[in-house]
Amino acid sequence: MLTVDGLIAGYQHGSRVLDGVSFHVRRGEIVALMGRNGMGKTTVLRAITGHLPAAKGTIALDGEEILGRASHEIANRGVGYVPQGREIFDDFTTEENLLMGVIGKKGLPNKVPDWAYEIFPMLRERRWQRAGTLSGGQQQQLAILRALVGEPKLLLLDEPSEGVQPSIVQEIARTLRRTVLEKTLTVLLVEQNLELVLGMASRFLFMENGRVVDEAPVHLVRPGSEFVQKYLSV
Amino acid sequence: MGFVVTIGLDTLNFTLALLLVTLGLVVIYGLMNVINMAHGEFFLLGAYCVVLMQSAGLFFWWALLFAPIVLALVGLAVEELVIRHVYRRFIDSILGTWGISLALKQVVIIVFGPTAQSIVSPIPGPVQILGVTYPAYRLFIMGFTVLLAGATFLFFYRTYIGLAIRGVIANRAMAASLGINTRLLDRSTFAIGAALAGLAGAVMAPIMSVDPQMGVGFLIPAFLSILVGGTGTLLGALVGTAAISGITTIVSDAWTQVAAQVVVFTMAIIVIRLFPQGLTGRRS
Amino acid sequence: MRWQSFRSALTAAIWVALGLAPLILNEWRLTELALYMAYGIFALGLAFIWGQAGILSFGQAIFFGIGAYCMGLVTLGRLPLLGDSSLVGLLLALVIPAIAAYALGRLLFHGRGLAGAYFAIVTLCAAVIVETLAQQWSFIGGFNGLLGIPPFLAPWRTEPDAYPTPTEIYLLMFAASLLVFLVLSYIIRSPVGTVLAAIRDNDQRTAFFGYDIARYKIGAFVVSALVSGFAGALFVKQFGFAAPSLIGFGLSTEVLIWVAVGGRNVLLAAFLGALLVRSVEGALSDRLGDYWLLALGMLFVVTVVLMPTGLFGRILMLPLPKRLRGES
Repeated sequence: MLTVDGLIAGYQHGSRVLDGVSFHVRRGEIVALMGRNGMGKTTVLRAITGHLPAAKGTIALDGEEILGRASHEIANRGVGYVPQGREIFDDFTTEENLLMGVIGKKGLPNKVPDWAYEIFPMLRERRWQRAGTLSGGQQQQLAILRALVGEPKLLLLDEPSEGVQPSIVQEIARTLRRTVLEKTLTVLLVEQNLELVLGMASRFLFMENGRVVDEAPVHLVRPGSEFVQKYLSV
Repeated sequence: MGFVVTIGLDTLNFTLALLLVTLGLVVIYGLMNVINMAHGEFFLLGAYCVVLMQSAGLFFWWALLFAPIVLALVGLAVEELVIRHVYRRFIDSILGTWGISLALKQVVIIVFGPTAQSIVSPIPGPVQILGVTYPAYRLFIMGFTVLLAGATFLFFYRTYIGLAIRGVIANRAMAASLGINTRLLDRSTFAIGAALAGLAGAVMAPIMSVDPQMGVGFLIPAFLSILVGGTGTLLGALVGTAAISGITTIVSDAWTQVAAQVVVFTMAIIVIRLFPQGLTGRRS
Repeated sequence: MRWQSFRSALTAAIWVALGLAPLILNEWRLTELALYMAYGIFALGLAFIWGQAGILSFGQAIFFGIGAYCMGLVTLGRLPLLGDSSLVGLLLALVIPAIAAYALGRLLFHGRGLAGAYFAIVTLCAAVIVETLAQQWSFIGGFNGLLGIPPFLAPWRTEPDAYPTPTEIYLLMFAASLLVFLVLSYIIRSPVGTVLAAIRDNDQRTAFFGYDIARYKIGAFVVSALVSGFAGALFVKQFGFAAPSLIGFGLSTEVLIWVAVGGRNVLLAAFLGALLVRSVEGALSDRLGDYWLLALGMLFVVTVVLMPTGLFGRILMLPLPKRLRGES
């Protein structure tokens, strides 16, 4: 579904953040993009979502080139984005945040679908609460749900466990996995938390210095395995 | 007592008209980070739409339909030709819109001449209200602008488009990633802001001396209102506008207009020094 | 490297050409040009704070006008305590604007102070108000201003009450322009100028380095006010009268246009911008009148949008001082 080829992005010559990233994600897969801090993982997601207009290379979604397109167009082609730090609208209510997830999407009615609060029931009671007052875990649920109500076909998540307490992380991981399977979504996940990722992903990509240098199926990646030693430990 | 009521009504009048101009400015600033120095000229063009209607022999009320349409088109043109190119360069956006304001003012001077025009009041005659005699048309202005301001607030806080606009103001990148066409919103919002200012100009024309310099006369109080009230929110615009127009009207009625300008300016500077983020305390 | 020395040579050549102008131009043109040079000096002051320090002011004419009025008041004998010599007028024309700038600067730049846009708006409001006040103040002539301000005298002549020739006035203005140019260039190329440039590019970061940015901004603002007051004084000696239009927001806007069109980052470019725009205006405005102002407004917009460095900015930009050029 998603093909990235030779993606180059950076600030100026000589200090490129992405130096020829190439990988693909098949329909229905849940792929994890791993690597130490600063290797360019977030930048890859930003390039896919159209926030790096100066990037070069190829990014194809279902065969169509999306590199160079405006962010809103990419979103309307079915790319859902849950960025690092969540980026929820603090001053809006939970409900308004979710509405933001649908009103930009052509073809979807301007209302929060009934199934939304079934996925994260904890948000239902906080429906009219200002989103800025939610806890880290609740905000993460909100950010994910906001992406889901837009009915994406590809879901991009950047460090969903950041700032969320471990027990909630597990819960979110379970719910996410179930939802992704139910809706047959394709997922590209950037995450530092190996446990969360092990519970979800089927394939791992490892980034180093702006390139995808290795990949492995989930059963080969265990804490203490060579992959973890080589690409993740500090 | 009658004096107080008259001042109160005058203040309300000015506040509401100024509010329409200020709201447009605030939204444009919040959305695009552009300080639109041409906004006073949008007000001006609205007033001159009325002049045009009058010289064409048409009813004043047509102007209330004509002015916002004309200004929306002018707004779209300005946005497309100029704003779009400079909104990332903050200082240049100030200058670019300033140049537009000069150009628009000159167009008005060329077409209509530099001298003041007066508009026949569409609802002549006074009316008794709250124990004073007050021009009927001014009451109409207040009613009309209250409705318009109310409609604007409803638009921003109760419609999906309003939600989208507020979302883009809060976090442009995220809104775009949710599928919202931010460029289209920029353009439409700018046009709406221009139309609002134009409508304000049209409705105020009969009670003002309509001359090419009147744009600046509304732009400056509008800016001061925003600085004093707080640049972040529509509420800030409301508070600031009430403060500025209140003081202006009171000092103007009690003393002279010049004195009002000086007093308002001085007080605005003091407030900004003490509350750099304005009275409502939030910065966008 | 060759490009850089070309630009320095070009700058020098232009000054030489300006100095030699009396050889080519007739007296009428020289008189005109000398007057425009006062505007040019005014433009230098704005280019200094805007191009170098990044301070956008919509009210620079306040200082120009104060300078003009001071020179007028003194030489017309309206301030008996100070006598009526032009020199005292000049001194006052420097001191009062400087004090005003200092006060305004202290008020507005204090601490973290106002950000650029707020400052611009406040100066805009100030210009409008000062103009209105000037129109009301009868001591300085109200709407009509001060008339009959004595022109330059030629103290180097042997005959008493001799007036300088147009050539001499021109050379005087040329010398004054060159002097201001050299002084401002010196400041720009000095470490102070570098700090100002740093403030222009990122004032928060510069503050983090420990610089008191308010003090630098106030200093730059005062310097620009001195220059503007100087220009106003020189202007009024040639023009003969000082009116509220010299102090208000019309002229403040005009100088912005000259500097934007000429080139805000380069002193000489701004100077030439003033000369060019005024010369063209002098030639065209009789015939085109309001259309000229419209064209000017549009030219301003086009320049700001498409050519932020102005018409002459690129070709006249001088190389960085050796100090900043790294390994030579």
